[in-house]
This record gives sequence, structure tokens and C-alpha cells, in this order.
Amino acid sequence: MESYKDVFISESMEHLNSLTQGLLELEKGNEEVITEIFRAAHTLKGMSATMGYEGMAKITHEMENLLDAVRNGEVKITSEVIDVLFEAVDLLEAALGSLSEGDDENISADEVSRKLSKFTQKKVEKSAETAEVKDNVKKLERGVKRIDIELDRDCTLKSVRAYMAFRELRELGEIVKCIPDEEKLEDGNFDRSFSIFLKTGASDEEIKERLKKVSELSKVEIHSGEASSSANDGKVKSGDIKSVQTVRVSIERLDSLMNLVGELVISKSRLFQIKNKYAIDELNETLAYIDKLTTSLQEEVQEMRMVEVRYVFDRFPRMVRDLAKKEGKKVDFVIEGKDIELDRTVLDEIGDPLVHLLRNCIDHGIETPEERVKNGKSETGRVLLKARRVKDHVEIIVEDDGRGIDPEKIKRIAVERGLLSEKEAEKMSPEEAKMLIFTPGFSSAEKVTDISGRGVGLDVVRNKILSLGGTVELESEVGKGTRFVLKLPLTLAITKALLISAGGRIYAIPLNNVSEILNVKEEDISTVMGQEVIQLRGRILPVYDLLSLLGKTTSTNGKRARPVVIVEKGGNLIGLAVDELIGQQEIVIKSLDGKLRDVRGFAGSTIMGDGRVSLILDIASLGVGEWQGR
Amino acid sequence: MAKVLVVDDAAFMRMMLKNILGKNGHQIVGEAQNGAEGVKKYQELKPDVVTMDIIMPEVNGIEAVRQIMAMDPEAKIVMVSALGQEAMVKEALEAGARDFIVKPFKESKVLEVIEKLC
Repeated sequence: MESYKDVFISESMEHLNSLTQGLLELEKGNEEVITEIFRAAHTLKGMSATMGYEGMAKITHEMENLLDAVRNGEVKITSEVIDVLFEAVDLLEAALGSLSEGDDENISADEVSRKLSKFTQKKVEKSAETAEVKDNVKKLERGVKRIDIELDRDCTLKSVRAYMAFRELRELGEIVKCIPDEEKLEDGNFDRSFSIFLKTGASDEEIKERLKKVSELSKVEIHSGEASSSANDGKVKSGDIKSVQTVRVSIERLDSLMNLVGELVISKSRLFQIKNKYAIDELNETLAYIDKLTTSLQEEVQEMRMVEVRYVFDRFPRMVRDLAKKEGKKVDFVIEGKDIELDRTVLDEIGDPLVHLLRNCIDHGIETPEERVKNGKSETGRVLLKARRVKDHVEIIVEDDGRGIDPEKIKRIAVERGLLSEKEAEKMSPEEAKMLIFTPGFSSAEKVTDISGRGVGLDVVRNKILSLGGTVELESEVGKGTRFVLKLPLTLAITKALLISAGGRIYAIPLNNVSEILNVKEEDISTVMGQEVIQLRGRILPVYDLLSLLGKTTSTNGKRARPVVIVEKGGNLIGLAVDELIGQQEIVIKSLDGKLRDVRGFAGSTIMGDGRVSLILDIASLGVGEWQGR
Repeated sequence: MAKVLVVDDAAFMRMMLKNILGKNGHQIVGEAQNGAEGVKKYQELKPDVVTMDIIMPEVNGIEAVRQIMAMDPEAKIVMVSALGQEAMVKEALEAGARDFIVKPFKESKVLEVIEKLC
């Protein structure tokens, strides 16, 4: 049973997702989705009962009842109904979370079940039925076949035909379940088709032969469960079994595959060096081919790691809805570009930043309906979450049509918080002022809600994106709205870097951090407040010796002509003085593990073509100290 | 081709069945107006297939099925039912009837059922 658990968890997550989506649609008045929601709940019920997760089975059972009542028009969809259903979804999610940690369900199903059943009023013997389903579906795992039967269009006594089919199938095995349930079938209360779950050792041919005795059947389809032994008895027509199109692979495996490919890329470049060193021309062709192969392999693996952003985006509608409701705001939440793909590692990391940005939109951006109407806007605000592919990176846009960011207000707050002096504030351009919201310690929430303003500022968002090799842009117009644009690399594992040498070692600087490269002459360097600086197009930039930043003593201190790499750090440009520029190269990033994980200033390591290891600089965590001379 | 015994209290229904079966190459070897007569004729004629109305005076169709099945467990009996007689059809099937047809008859359906049994 345990081996099913992973599949159970991931599949259940998918069903919960579609439940959430469906419920949101339902709340908007789209009643067509009810069938889908119902099916999701139903499937979940069957699955959890099979696994013996009684809490989940109980909740989903009640959900199913309620949804059925909604479907039949017995219960009207109200905000309360949706709320309780969401509560149930939350609990199921919690149970799944706990299960995936290797724990029990750890939920108490009673309260939600009671709330759910309150709507249906029907007093169903819950425990008995849940147990029955559990019993039935349990058997589905081994040797159970689902037989889908369709009756002739003009069949009149449908229930009797179903009865006859039952009778024939009982000869072959045990009927563990049928859809619709037996009662409905007996009453003829179904459309033309029904499904029978038969636990049997009989082959599909035998089953078909049996059912041939029953008249007025226009279609018989037999589906074998995965565990069915007769699936390979040779008699089964290929159309009877769904072909397998996807395989689930754990992310660890993909990671290790990626690593191996990385090693291969490195070995390849070493081979090239050996070939060149000994001038072995016979190797040319083979090496060229290996080169091609490794490139395709690398692309292929990278492709495998790509995941559609929907896996992160899909959880937001629910969150936005809840927030908006809590805040008494009306929000139309639009998602675009769900099918855009990102590397799994990148995607995993952007969930929290996006949560934060969306919260900001609703908390600070979108106004209350009254305020909006007063300002001549529509009552309902609009929040857009959009992903799009732009060349070799992906842009994620979070946009609202709310009150926008007022530079004056931002300045005032920054001064209040001591982040800025009055004088500095005065000099600041509106554009620069807006960027202040990314400063650590800045939070413009006038009241602290449990939504935002919990001390986690936008600076955390920005740092996260920067550490992923991305950038954050901000556009905002007072009264019109705000737009955050996150630019993200497609993948983290392989990136372009600038290789430089300092103190006899080679270091890699991710190219997306590099703004430009200068050759600085001795006379260009001056000292302001104890800091060496250069002037770049009228701006004064501090220049640091890379080696001293990395904590190494350097004998070459002092003003002299050397290359300076201008990088962006925390919204400012700084210069890094190095010994030599080597060039630009694709590097395979290997993360630093264990004790080295927390070393500041380094994002990882990479192996060069000649087998030497070089460290990759992490500009964001490079400690430059405070320089007040800006 | 099947030899068929038609048991029905309504001459109209017997005629309908006779027509449908006759023109499609089946032979009507006998007719009966109630269950008791049907049982007696079954014994005499040994037909391949019996069509058996359900609601009939004296011995009804279900009872007749039971009696015939007691004599000949291999008997192939098709119930003739009207709409809304689900429960009775099921009872007859339990008693051993092989299949059923529904009034008003559809030629194709009648033939499908009879030919399936032969």
C-alpha cells in the first residue's frame, strides 16, 4: 500500500487543485463546473478510502453529498456553501501535507463534515457508506475491471437490461461497485450508459462473450486496472487499455541527471583540451559528435525539468479571493500565460515572492469599492498575473489597477523610518523614490494586518529574485496602478558567466549581474570618505578590491590601473576591481553543500574545462559594508 | 430458423409476433392464450423458443416460466413485457427466462432477441 502513497499524494493534489479552481468558478456563477467538481470530490473520496485515510474519506464524502445536492438544485450556491467547501479543501490539503511528511492525516474531520452535512440536511448513514466505498475501492487495486456499458438508444426497460448485465457478470466474478449506484440502475434512473466494477479472473474476451447474451447493448468497453493480471494475457485489444504517455519521476532524479550531464559537459571540454595538447586529429570527428550529443542531451534534460507555471499560479486565485473577501475589496483576478514553462528549481523559489507581491496588490494596491467609486473607477479592481517568454528568459508580471505608489508618500515614510534624511529625500527623483519600497526595513502598511506588513518586506522579494539571477522592475502611476515585472532565467543549472582572475584564482560572475566592464586608469580613482570611487557618467560608484571583499589580504592595494567589473547590488551599482578579465563562458553551477552552504559571497562552484574548480560569486550576499558617501 | 411458440392472451399481439417472425424465416409452431395452455403446448411441441406474455388469465407468464423450467431447464423463454413492468420482468428472469421484448414491438429488437437465443 505504501508504494501507492506518492501517487496518491500527487494525484490528490491535482484533484484538490481542480476543486479549488472549480469552486472559484462556481462562486462566479459558472454552474457548468459542478460536474467536474463533483467528480474531483468523488475521485478523492474513492482514493482516500482506498488508502484508508478515513478523515479525508469522510470529508470528501460529505463534500460529494453537498455537491450532489447542489447539482440537483436542492441546495443553492451561497457564499457560505463555498466557504465551507473551501474549508474542507483546506483541511484536505493539510492532511496531504501531513501525509507527505510521512505522518498520519492529522486532521479532525468531524467539524467540517458536520458543517457540510448541515446544508444537505439529508441524514445519510455516513460511516456505513464510507466504509462500504472504502471496501469496494480497496478491491479495485487488484484484478478489478471496469466495464463500461452503453444501451441502445431506444432501449425501453433500461433497468432490466442493466440487471441482465449484472446477472451475467456475476457469473464471472464479484461486482464491487457500479456507477451510477445500484439503486439508480434499478430504478432506471440513468442515461444510456453505466459502469460496473468487476473483480474477476476472467479475460476481457470472456466478459464480452458473456455480455453478448444480453440484448440491446450498443457498446461494451473493458478497462483493466493497473494491477490486473489479465492485462497481459494477449487477448486484450490494445484499445482496451489506456496507453501510458507520462511517467512520474522524482525531482531528485532529474537533479542527479542534470548533474551527470554537467559532468559530461566538463569531461567533454577536458577531452578537447587533451586532443589539442597532443594534436590527435583522429579524435576530431568523434569529439565533434560527442559535442553535439552532449549539447542535445543537455537541452533534453533541461526541457524535462521545465514545469508549467500553472503549478504555482493555480494556487493564487483562491488566495486572492480569500484576501479580497477579508479586506472587503472586490477583485477580478486574471491569470495569463499559465502554460509558460520554467525550470522546476526556479519555479519552486518564486512561489513566495509572488504571494508577497499579490498580497501587496490587494492590501496596498486595490482600493475599497467605495474609494474606487469615489475616484471614478469601477467598483471591482483588477489584478493581473501574467507569465510570458521573452527571448531566453521569462517575465512574470504582477499588475493591479489600484491606487499606485505615491513617491511623496514613500519618501515621507522612508524619512520617518530613518532610512533617508530630509535632504536626501528632497533630491530624490520620483523614480528613485519608488524603488525605496525595496529597501530593507521599509513597509508602508499604515496598519499591520495579518496579510502584509508582517515584517517581510519587498526587499526579501527582490533579493530572492536577484539570487535566482533575475531582476525586478517596478512601474507605477498614482491613481492608475502598479506593475511589477520579474525577469527570470529559464534555468538555474547552467548559466553564462564572466570569468575573471584575482589573486591567481579564477572566479565566475553570473553575467546577469554584470552591468558593464571598465578599464580604469589610475587617475580615474579618487577617495571619498575613505572609499575608493570612480565616476561613471556623472555618478559616483564605490570600487572594491574583489580580493579584500573575499577576506583575502592583498598586496596590490592602492590606486592602479585595473579592470573593474560594474555589478548591480541591492539596487546600486558598485565596481569590483579584479586582476584580469578572462572571458565569457557557459558554466554548470554546482551548489555548495554542507558546511560551505552558508558561506557569504559565493553562489556555488563550477568546473572549468581544464578540471580546475572555480567559485561563482554571489553578488547579492557579497559583504561590502555600509558606505555613506553615495 | 427457429421454431417458436407464442403465448399471449391478446390475439393482436400473437398476430404481430407471428408476422414479424414469419416473414423473417422463423416458424410459428403453436400459439397459446394463457400460461397453463402454454405449458401444455411446450410439452407437446418442444419449440426452440417461447415468447411469453406476463399478464395473462389463469396462470400468468411468470408462473408458466417456472413450470416450463421445471420440466426443461434448457428451455429458452423470452418474456413479452409492457413498459413499466420492470419488476415482473426481473422476476421472470430470476425464474429462468432468458430475455425479454417490449411492447410495442420493434421488429429489429424482436429479431435480435430471438436470433441471439438460437
